[in-house]
Amino acid sequence: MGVASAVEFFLIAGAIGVIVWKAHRIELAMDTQSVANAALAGEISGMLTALSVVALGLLLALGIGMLAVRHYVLRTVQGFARAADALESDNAAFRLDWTGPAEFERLAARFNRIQERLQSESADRARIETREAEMLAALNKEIDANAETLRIVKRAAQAWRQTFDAVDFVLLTVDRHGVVQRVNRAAVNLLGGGFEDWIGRPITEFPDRQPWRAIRALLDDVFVDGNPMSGQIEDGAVWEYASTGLHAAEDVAVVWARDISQMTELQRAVARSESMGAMGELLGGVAHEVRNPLFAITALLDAWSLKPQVQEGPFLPALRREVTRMRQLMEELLEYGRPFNPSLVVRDLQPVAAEAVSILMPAAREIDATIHVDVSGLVHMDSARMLRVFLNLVQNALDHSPDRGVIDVASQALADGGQPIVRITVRDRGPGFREADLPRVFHPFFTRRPGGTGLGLPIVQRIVDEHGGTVSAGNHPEGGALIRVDLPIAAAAAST
Amino acid sequence: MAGPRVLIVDDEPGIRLGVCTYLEACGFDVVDAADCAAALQLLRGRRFDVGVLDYALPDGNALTVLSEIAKIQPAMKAIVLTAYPSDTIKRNALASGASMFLTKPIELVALRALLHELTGTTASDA
Repeated sequence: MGVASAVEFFLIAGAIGVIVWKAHRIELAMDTQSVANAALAGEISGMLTALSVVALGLLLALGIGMLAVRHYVLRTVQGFARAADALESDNAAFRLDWTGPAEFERLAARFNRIQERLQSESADRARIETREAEMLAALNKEIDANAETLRIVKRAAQAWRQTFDAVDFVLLTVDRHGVVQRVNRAAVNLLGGGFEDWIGRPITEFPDRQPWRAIRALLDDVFVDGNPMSGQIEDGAVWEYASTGLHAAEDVAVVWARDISQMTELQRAVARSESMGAMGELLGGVAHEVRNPLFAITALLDAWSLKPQVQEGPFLPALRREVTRMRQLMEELLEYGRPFNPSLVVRDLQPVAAEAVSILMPAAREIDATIHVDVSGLVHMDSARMLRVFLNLVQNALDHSPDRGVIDVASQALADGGQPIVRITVRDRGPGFREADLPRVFHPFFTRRPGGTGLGLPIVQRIVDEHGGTVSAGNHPEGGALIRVDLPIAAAAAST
Repeated sequence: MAGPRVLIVDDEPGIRLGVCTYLEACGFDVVDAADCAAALQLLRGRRFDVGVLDYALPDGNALTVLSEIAKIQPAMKAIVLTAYPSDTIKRNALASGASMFLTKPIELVALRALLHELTGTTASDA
């Protein structure tokens, strides 16, 4: 309102000036000329009229001016009042769209620039706050997750402790200095005392009795080479014990031991039972093989006794045949049951195979059979036992060969999964094995040949097994039985 | 008058020779076979009073022969012999019609007496 008051003041001052000026003229005219009253009255009347008009004009101008000034001032003030409100309410998006007096345009523009800066800073602050909120949320989530992990780990640790104590065999951990880090209840029960008596104690203070002596010795070895080890000790009770390795990455070795006396006794009982079972089966087979020739011998003797006059008849050769059969059975039984000779020496298979064929040549001639031998290879062997392998295999082939049949005895060096072996094959031209018989041909006393003992192939299997080899039976694709023996080649030969 | 007709089935030539010779000397009318196939062929061609059958034969066992006997000569008796006795084999043999189940070796005097008993004859008949 200050500006309005000033305008009004100047307008009023102007009007008074005009009136004063006019009155001064009137006074001068009255003093100097003493003019006629009529003229004077007219001039005064004119002057008053003019004065009235001027006064009215002044009043009008004054009103209009006052309205204009009021409007001008109100717009300006209202514009800046909105700006002030926006500032007060942190409304940084607010802009003064100035349509008021041009004198304030720069001020409005300045206000808007300030607002823009405030808005930009506000946006930055909002982004920072949002990011902080997100980070806080992520942190809270991570904390929650870590808390859950911690709970799981605690539960697992608790379960581990319970398990450690619950196992009924001795369990302990020992650091690389030989100091006990943890013992379970079973260990403490065996050691005597309490947990606190043994945790932190060196293993050298273990009691001088089993299994502790064995565990101490085992750990001494583990500390030296770091590898896992195990052992078994029998000292009244039978203890099985073991330790994990202790390499650079491990802090402790985990050691366990358990009393396996009952289990061992059970296993031994089972082994005895199996042994007795096997012996019973063998004896059954022996009895069977003995009863037939024995019956034949008694029957032949009974028959001969009724016909004592028969001297050159069939009885004597038949009796001799049966007695020979029983002698062979006895020899093969002894061969089958002969203890294993662990002193094997490196020998070539060639002379052994040749000797077997030489021995059987008369039998081959009886059926006009041909035997081809091409066998070689150095193996660790008991030559006498290996001779029996070739004798049995070639004899078996002869027993099943047709007249003028051909028997091939061959060998070849092979690598069986990296292990060098020599494979010996014996093939005849007979009818071959029946498919149904193949699973049983190595069973003692199984034979399809009348008069056969059924021990030839089982003896071969036993001897080959003693030499670390394998034997299998089958038929050649072009006919005839095929026996295959795989023997490990002696290291000296394998390296050349 | 011919004695009781006996069929001997055994894959052991020594047993066949001894048993057949002995029983023939005792007056029995004896025929022998080395396996099931030969035994079945004989059963289809001749009549027998009794059979002496080895249980284990190269092409089967005594049950095959017993089954054939039951079909074509139901009046014929049979004794089963084995060198490897077992309750199962014995049960199967008796269930298949065998009159007796014996374990080798047996005395031929005893076998002779059993054959007379099964055929209802005496030594003087043979």
